[in-house]
Amino acid sequence: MTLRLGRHSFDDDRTLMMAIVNRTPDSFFDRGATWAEDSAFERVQQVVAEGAEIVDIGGIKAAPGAEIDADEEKRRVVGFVERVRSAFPDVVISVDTWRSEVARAVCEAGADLLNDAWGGADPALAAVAAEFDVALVCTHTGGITPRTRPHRIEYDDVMADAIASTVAEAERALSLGVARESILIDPAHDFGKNTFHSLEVTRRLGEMVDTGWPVLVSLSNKDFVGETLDRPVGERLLGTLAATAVAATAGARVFRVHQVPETRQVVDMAWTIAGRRPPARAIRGLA
Amino acid sequence: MIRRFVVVPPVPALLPRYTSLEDPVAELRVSAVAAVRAIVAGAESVAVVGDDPFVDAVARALLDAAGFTGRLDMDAEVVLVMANGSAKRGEKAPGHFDERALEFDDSVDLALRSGDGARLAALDATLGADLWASGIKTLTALGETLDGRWQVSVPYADAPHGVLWWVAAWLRA
Repeated sequence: MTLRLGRHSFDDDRTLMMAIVNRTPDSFFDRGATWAEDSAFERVQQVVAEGAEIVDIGGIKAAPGAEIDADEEKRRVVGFVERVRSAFPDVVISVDTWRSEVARAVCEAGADLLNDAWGGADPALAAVAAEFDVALVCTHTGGITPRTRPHRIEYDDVMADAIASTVAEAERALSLGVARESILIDPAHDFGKNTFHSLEVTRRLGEMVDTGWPVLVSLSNKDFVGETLDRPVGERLLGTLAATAVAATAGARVFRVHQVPETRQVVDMAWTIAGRRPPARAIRGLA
Repeated sequence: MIRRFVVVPPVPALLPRYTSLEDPVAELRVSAVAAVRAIVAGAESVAVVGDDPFVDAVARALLDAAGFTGRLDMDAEVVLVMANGSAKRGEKAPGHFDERALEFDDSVDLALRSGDGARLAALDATLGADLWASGIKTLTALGETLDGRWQVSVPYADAPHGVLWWVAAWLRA
C-alpha cells in the first residue's frame, strides 16, 4: 500500500530514512549537539543532503530527566517546524511527541507525521492526526508512563503484546479518521522492554510486518545494542546496522536513525537481497 | 527468401529479470528495441538465429519490448540475428585482453556495413569463438544465402562494457 505522510506519498517498495533531530540539551546520543536552533537546522540540512526522506524533531529526551511542560516543548519545536517546513518543502516533517496539545501546534506549523513514541499516552493525539490529515506512528510501550524506564516488566509473549497493542491503536486511529495509508506501527525497541525483549521483537519482526500495517523501527544506538555487544553509546553503529539488516530483511519500511548514509546502504543491501529492490547498476557477467 | 534482418547482441542485461535501478545498457536498449520495432513492422512472423545460450530469451525480450505479437518461424522473411563482437577488448573486458580482438571486431564492423553477403560469409568464425564473439558462425552462414544489393544502417556500434555490440539493419535494396 502507498504510504502517505502528510503532503508526501511513497510507493510500497520504498524504504525511508527518518533522521533524528533533537531540540534537546540532553538526548543520549548527541548530548545536546543540536540543542541550539541553528545547530539543529544544520543537522536538518546535513541529513537532507544525505538523503533522509523524513526528519523526526523531538523536544524532550526519552529518558527520565527534568520536567518539560507543554509550553516549553512547544517553544522548542513549533517555530523550528515552521522554519524547516519553509526551507525544505520536500522533506517529511515528523514530530516526536506524546502530547496532543503539542501535536496540534506542530500540525498548524506544517508537520506531516506524529511520532507518538509513548504509545498513546495521550489518547487525544490520534484525533489531532485525523483532524489535520497527517500520519501517525503507533508504538508499543507495554503501557508505561512517558519518560520512565522499564523495571521488571514481563510479558507472556512480547511480540504478541506489541502486535496486539499497536494494531489496536492503529485501528482506533483509523476509526477516529486517520487515513489507513497514513498509519504506521513500531514495536519500540527498549521502550517498556529489557534487552531480551528487544532482541525478540527484532528476531520476530516479520510477524509484525505480516499484520499489513507498515512497520517503523527505531534501533539506533539503543541500549539493547549496547548491552548485547557490551559497547558504550559512541560504539554502537555496527550493532545498530546488524539489527537494521535483520529488520529490513523482515520487511520494516521506515528506519529512525542517527546515521543516515550508513543505514541507507544497509537497508538497500538487505532489501535487494530480499528481492524487493533491484541492484543500482548490475553488468557483471551480463554484457 | 530473406527480405530484411537486424543484427542485435544477445546481451543478458537486456532481460527483464536483470533490471537495475539505472540501466547499464540504456543506449543499446533504446537502439535495439527501435531497430527491432522497425524491422518487424507489418511482419506476421519472424525468424530468430544465433548461437549463444541467451539468443532465445533476449530475442523474446526485444520482440516483446517492440510490441511484436506475431509468430516465430524459422522460414520467415524477417530475421533477428543475435550476434556481437569480441568480449576480449581490454583489461576490464569479460574475457580480459586479447591483442587480436580489435582487428577482428574491425573486420566484422566492415562486413556489417558493407551490404555485401559475401563479406559476412568471409568472417572468421573460429577466431570469433576464440575471442568470445557470439553469432559469427551464424553471420557467415547467413551471408552465404544473401545475394543482390542491400541497404544498410548501423544506428549503434559501441563497447561500453568490453564487448563490441552492434545494432545493424539490412534491407534488400
